[in-house]
Amino acid sequence: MRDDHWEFWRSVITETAAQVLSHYGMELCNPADWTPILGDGDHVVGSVYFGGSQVRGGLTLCAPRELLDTANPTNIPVPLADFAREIANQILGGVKARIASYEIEFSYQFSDPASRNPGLPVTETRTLVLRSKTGEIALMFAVASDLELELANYQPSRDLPSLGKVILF
Amino acid sequence: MKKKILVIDDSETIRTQVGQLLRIAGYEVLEAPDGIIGAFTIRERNDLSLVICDVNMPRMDGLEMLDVLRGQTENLPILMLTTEARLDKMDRAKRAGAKAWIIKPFKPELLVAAVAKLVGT
Repeated sequence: MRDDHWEFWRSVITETAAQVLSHYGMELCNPADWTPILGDGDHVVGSVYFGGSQVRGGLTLCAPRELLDTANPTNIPVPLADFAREIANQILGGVKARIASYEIEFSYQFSDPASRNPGLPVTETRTLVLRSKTGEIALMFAVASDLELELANYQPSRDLPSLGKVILF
Repeated sequence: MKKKILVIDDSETIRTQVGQLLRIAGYEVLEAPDGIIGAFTIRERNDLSLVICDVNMPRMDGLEMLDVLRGQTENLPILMLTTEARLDKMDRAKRAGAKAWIIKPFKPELLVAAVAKLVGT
């Protein structure tokens, strides 16, 4: 969806949601911050950040605690926020590898780049809710970019190194 | 005596996962959360058989750590375990002395096989 199309739909949905919820006594603090809500239960979030000359922002993963607990790759309890952050980290790594062929580069940051550079606000945020058999996972991708990337130009790379493959030097 | 492997990663989940796999495989495992503590541990100990190291970490990343240790780890194999897939970063690691590179997420059996090959067991 083009940004201007999304802005239109977001305005319509936000205005409608604020009106209906207000009818039932649920006032939205800031309708502009409305985002989809995952199912009930205890959720865990983990965020990673990135910055480069053309793009910067963050990727946040939010998932039910029970879902992450089940997916824990060890049989030892681990801090699930760390696990969520590591999954987001691995997703961001895949994104980085895929956009490299478009000569778009960024590096990992260990704090929100917007907080260190307030003059360059991260204005674009998309939330993607992915469904699995055992629960929903939300990915919040916040990005500031002046790039014009068209989906029609995207070609899944066939030259990406295999995940998990051992490359011996 | 068990061979000792140092796992350097800022993710506790990865350190726990790799540590558990390697302990089951018969190794003794030490952990460090970043390149600074990793480099310190490598310099302090002379009984390590292998280092497994992430690239993107706070304070000092894995490639910076290799540069800091350049010339001091000729007999210590280093395996990079990272989300990074860029060839220039792999080349930099290779020039700094790394012996292998695995892109996360990893397959446990391939990691253990690579470790066995690198430590000669």
